[in-house]
Amino acid sequence: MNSTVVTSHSIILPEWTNDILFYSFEIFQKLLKLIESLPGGVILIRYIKSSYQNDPFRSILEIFLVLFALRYFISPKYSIEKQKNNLHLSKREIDDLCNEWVPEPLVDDLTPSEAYLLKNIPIVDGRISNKINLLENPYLSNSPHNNDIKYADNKQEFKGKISISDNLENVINLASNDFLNLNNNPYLKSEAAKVIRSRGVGACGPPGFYGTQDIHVRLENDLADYFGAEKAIIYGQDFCTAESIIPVFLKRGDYCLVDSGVNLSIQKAVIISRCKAIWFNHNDLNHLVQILEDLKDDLANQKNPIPRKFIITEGLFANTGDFPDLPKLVQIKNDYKFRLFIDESFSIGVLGKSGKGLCEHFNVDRKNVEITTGSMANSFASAGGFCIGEKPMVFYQRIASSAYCFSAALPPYLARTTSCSMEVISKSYRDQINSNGLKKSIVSKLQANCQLFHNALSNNSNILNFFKIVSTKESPVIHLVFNSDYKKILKLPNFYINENNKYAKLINEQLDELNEFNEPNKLNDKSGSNAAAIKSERIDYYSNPTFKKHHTLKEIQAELSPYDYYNIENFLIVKIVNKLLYDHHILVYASPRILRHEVIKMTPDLKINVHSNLDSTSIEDIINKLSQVILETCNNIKSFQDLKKIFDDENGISKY
Amino acid sequence: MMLTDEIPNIEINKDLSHQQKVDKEYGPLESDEFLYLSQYDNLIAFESPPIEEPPYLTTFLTYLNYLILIIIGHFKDFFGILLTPNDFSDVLEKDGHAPYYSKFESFYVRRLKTRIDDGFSRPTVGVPGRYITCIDRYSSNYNKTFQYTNETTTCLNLSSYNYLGFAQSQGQCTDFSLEALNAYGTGSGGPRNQIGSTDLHQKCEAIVADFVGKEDAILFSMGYATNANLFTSLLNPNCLVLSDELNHASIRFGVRLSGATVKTFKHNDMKDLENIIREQISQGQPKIHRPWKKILIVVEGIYSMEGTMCNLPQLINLKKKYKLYLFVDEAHSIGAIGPKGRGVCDYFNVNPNDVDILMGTLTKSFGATGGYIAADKHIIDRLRIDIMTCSYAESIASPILAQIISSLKTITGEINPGEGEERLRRIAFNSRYLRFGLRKLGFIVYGMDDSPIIPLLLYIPNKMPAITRSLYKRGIAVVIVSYPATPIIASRVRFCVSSSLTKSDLDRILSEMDYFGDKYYIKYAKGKHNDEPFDDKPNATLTMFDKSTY
Repeated sequence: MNSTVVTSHSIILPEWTNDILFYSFEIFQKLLKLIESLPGGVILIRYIKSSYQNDPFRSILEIFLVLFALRYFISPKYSIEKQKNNLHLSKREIDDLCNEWVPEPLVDDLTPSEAYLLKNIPIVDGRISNKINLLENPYLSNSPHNNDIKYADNKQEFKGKISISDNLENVINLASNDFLNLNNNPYLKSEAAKVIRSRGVGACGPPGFYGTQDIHVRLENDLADYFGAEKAIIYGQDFCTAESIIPVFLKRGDYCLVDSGVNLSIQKAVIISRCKAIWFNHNDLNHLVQILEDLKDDLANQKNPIPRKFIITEGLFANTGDFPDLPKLVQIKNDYKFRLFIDESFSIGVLGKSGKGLCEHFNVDRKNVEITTGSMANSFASAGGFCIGEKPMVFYQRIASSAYCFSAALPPYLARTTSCSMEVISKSYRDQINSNGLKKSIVSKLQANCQLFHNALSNNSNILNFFKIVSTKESPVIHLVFNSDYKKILKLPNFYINENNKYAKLINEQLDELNEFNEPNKLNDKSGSNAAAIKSERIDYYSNPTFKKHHTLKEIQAELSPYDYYNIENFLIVKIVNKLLYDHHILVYASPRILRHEVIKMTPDLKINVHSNLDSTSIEDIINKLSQVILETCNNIKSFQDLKKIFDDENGISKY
Repeated sequence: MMLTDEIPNIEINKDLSHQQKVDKEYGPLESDEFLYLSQYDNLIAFESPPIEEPPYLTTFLTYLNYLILIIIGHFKDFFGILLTPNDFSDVLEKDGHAPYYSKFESFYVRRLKTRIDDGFSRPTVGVPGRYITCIDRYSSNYNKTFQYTNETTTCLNLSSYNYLGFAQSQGQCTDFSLEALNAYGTGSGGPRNQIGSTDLHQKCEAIVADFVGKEDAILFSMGYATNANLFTSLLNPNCLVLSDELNHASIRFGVRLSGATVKTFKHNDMKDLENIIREQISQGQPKIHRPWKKILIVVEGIYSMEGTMCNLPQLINLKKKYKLYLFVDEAHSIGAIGPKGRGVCDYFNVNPNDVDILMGTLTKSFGATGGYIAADKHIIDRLRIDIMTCSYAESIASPILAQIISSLKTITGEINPGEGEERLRRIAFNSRYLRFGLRKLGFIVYGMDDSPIIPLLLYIPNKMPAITRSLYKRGIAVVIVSYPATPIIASRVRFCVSSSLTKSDLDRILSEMDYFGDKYYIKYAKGKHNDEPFDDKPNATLTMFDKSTY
């Protein structure tokens, strides 16, 4: 506009601008000298000069870059990202909001069905062996926090009812995971005592920091030798073993195919690993192959680097007591270049002629299973978990597996106990061979007992009227669930899903067809129409609130959540367990699984743990008594209303 | 030198008398002067000890050191894979299978950690008490594999978590746990809610609850798993966790498993925490702006790598002011601090009921293993049926319970009155004495004065093998810690003090450290703490370690 005016004025500069120019030039000169005096400064100045002469624009760009780099380094490392939709609030408003905010209680109070479970946890007085003494259960809260629960008024009343109140003596224990009865083995005890006498009880440090004793190293070698693997690593607890190992080898972008009947430890591990997990129907290898075929193209595109791929399953399923067809599984995983992960917690000491697990059962070389984990707390009568496999796999766990790195080592006496257990099991097998089968090994005894028990149960029509046997004849844990006929009478769903959990929903959507628990003697309720019926029934009973209101308002006074439905079914099982305990002094147990943690579908089950010291007459006796108790209990319960009424009575819930 | 691949079966302490054995596990008290009471002076507002900065040259050298290591590592990888691919089979694809770990993922382990692997996982034999006996190893292939030499080195033990010196093979605790072994068996039989609860569990839980000052407690067979499986039972995705940035891996794992949102605050920075609290309560959940269901502050009593303590009084103020819940992990503080050894609440003299959940491990101070959670009865009742470990994992074995019961009773004075108090006062003295001595010598040491964890900063990574190998040769076992447990530039050596050490043991350590500190140039804080008194109490007569006497 009037640029000419500006230029004409700019020629006559005031004196102070001259001064500023002069001084700044002087400072610039000094700065140059200073830079020259620094080592390498001359080169820098020469570089700037020449670059400016050749290309002044480049110099400007470089200055910008330097400034940007400076700003980048000076700015805070993680600038707190303000949410875009954050509201701008004044201090007073924030104060008000803080005052108004009311948190939920840290934990919900127990519902009556949960309180019932709590007060029926058995407490053993003294050692846990074949015959045990039980104590009164003290676990019920008397704290004022539970006052608002409806049953609180009747506290005195229910105390004497069904909870384990009198001291029970000489109870036959069919609830312990110590299948081979090694917990009180004198040899194990004396060896453990020696270790405590020379090393104390605790290891007092993580394995990486002086917590590894020679005993631990020896146990790792023993485990590797026993199972015929390259290397072994031991963990402090069985539950966190798989939970910690799977996230080490499965990261974002990796693939795993998981059997939808796996135990909770694996479920949690798979979810937390953030890998791409695809769940296949429980023990349905055809479904597995189908998924693998579908995946083929996806995987073929991922060449650089190829993802890690695992098939995850169990040696003897903790939830169902069956096992996968290993030879076929090995065939599949070789065909599709997957690795195999098997949790053998329950199959060790049980399957295979000398008790070395699933591989021995099917005569498959252990090297075909890339990762085997297991528990030392079951058949080995010790504690902790272990993992065996190839050297690099074990090597990497020692730095990357958090339950190994960040936790104290297993107490040395327990490590020694495990070594000794393996010794005892091997020795008894050798004795059997040397005596040409006359002297039976403890594993053979256990296997024979499992078979006997299973056969006797399958021939008992009284029990089969109400229950079905889910586990196979090899399993020492016998799983009984209510059969679908009885469930239909009680209007209970065939299985429960933790619907508040987004993973549980996702997984069960993935499994397109409804898969009944796999049973060896397949009942004829697996047809498509029946599956649909089961689904609708399930929706009727706890997904559809309107239905619940209309149908249940008259009979059921309290609102029931899906968890309550599960717990009420469980209540019936606990009732049978208790009756067997009080009338006949036999302890079996209701599965302590927790619906709100599981992501797979589940159903309450009655479990009987067989051990090697039973004989055929006592097995007959136990089953007769069991069938008697089941008849007495279940014959009186012919509808859901009956069940709820008994439940309310026993929990002191007042009726309207 | 005879080398074997199999770990040798060495019997130690064969020729020692009973008393010598006892002294080797738990040193005798040399003078009543060497006792101290660990308690925080409540009149002084809590201040987290300042973090001393290393000289710039040291920081520069640290980065340079890593740069060189990384360049050499990549150089070796590049040419190694070209020339000798067989040595790299672990990180390369093998017949269509991806490697278990990628080259990049494992670079740190293969190229940096393996170089100093001789300082980790040294196999030991015997009780990790006052002395620890390590089995010597030898590697002919730069720590890829080790062979055993059939010899042992007995070291002063500053590596084990044995704060009160209960790692013993003699004495009332061992006797009691042997009795329990005989009476109850080796293992536990199954999960708590299935069959694994015995009268001993009940007894032990009552004692633990009483000890920490809560209504009830519940025990688990592993400390890590206690945290890893707790938070899923307390929190859901609509909850918020405010977590200290230096919290232990088990807490981070557990919180991740619960699905709750996590905000971390700067280590022990209560202002930062309050800002986050105000922002989060006022803004609510992201996007939907619904209020958070619950907010849980998660801190540790003593931080295992820093030796710092949480600012418990201020945390309780904040918790009350904003209606939050407070979880304190006392893994390293229970037994180790406080006038009665009852952890941070005892140390700061606050009411344990002001903390909602107190968690701790039984490995560190009580010579046992496992973890506990102590809280109000209604919380514990809920956890008993809701926590995964109770229903799925094996319960804690009886000999371990016996060790816990007897050690707790010793501390409270029910067994051997006076012994527990002596143990508590000895660890308080030892922690303070070693820390002040190291500071006086000019080392940079982190942490609270009373904390039994004393991290001594080395910064430059190659000082780690130097210090651990040298001290090992001189018969002192220490732990070196580096990334990922600490920031990558803050490599350190950690002293875990125990009451089983005597003052002359500590003097020996200080004199060795003085020598090696000069030799390796690791006295980064020269001359700053020369006149620091051991104790600000007027009647303190103790003379601190003086290098002129050695």
